[in-house]
Amino acid sequence: MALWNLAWDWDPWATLRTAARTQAFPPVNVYESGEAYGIEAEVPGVAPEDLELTVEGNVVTIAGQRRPDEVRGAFHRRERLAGRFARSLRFPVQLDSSHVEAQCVDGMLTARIAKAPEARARRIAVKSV
Amino acid sequence: MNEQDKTSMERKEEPRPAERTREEMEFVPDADIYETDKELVLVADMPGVDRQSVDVDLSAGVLTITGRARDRKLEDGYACTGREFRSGNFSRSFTLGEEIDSSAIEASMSRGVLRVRLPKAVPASRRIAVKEG
Repeated sequence: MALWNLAWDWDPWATLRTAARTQAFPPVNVYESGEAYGIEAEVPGVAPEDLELTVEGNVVTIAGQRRPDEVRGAFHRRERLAGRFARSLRFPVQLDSSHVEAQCVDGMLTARIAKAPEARARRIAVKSV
Repeated sequence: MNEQDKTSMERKEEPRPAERTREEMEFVPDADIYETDKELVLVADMPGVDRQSVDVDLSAGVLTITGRARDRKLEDGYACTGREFRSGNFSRSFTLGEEIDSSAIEASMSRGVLRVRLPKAVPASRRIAVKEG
């Protein structure tokens, strides 16, 4: 969770507690079809306006911030971290940044990013002789 | 199961009294709990769970939150090439030390985050001053 900005609340145990979890935030699943890549990322509590998806060359970057709750009281436990995050995923082929669809529903970001035209799978007709 | 799958599933595990009959994933959501003079507030991350699929139950001083994740799958033609999280259900229980007014519990769900407000009950017993005599 090194990508989190811990400026809001320094918790020396956070590293221990999250040690067994995936290292980067947000966790991402990657899908592929012949024409496009699909990504899913878990971003609970992140407002769509605080989320930024950029596609450049063969790199997709998910960046944003999760704002801390306004709390007037004492914490019994605090496991949800707030702050800025950024994560880049490098793909094996060039991407087409003009064909990207993204939506965020129930804290789950889903995006479909087309491969560059020359990288798309083409079906070759096999002739009989 | 490869190494990567293992780490992503190990992330949330809580000892359970008994096994579930269905073989499906169940995760322990990350949670914040804070207390003010009037209430206890629980905030839990349940990405992929909508408002209709969440349950909040308080019985015998144990608060249980559960969320059923929608089966999220990209449409046909996509194959998964890298997985860092799995879909499954969320469940977690807390024993509450405070007396809670169970009729006034409010829960809301926004952007995959569950918020439960548990107002404290007005104490029924009164503190008795002990006189000297």
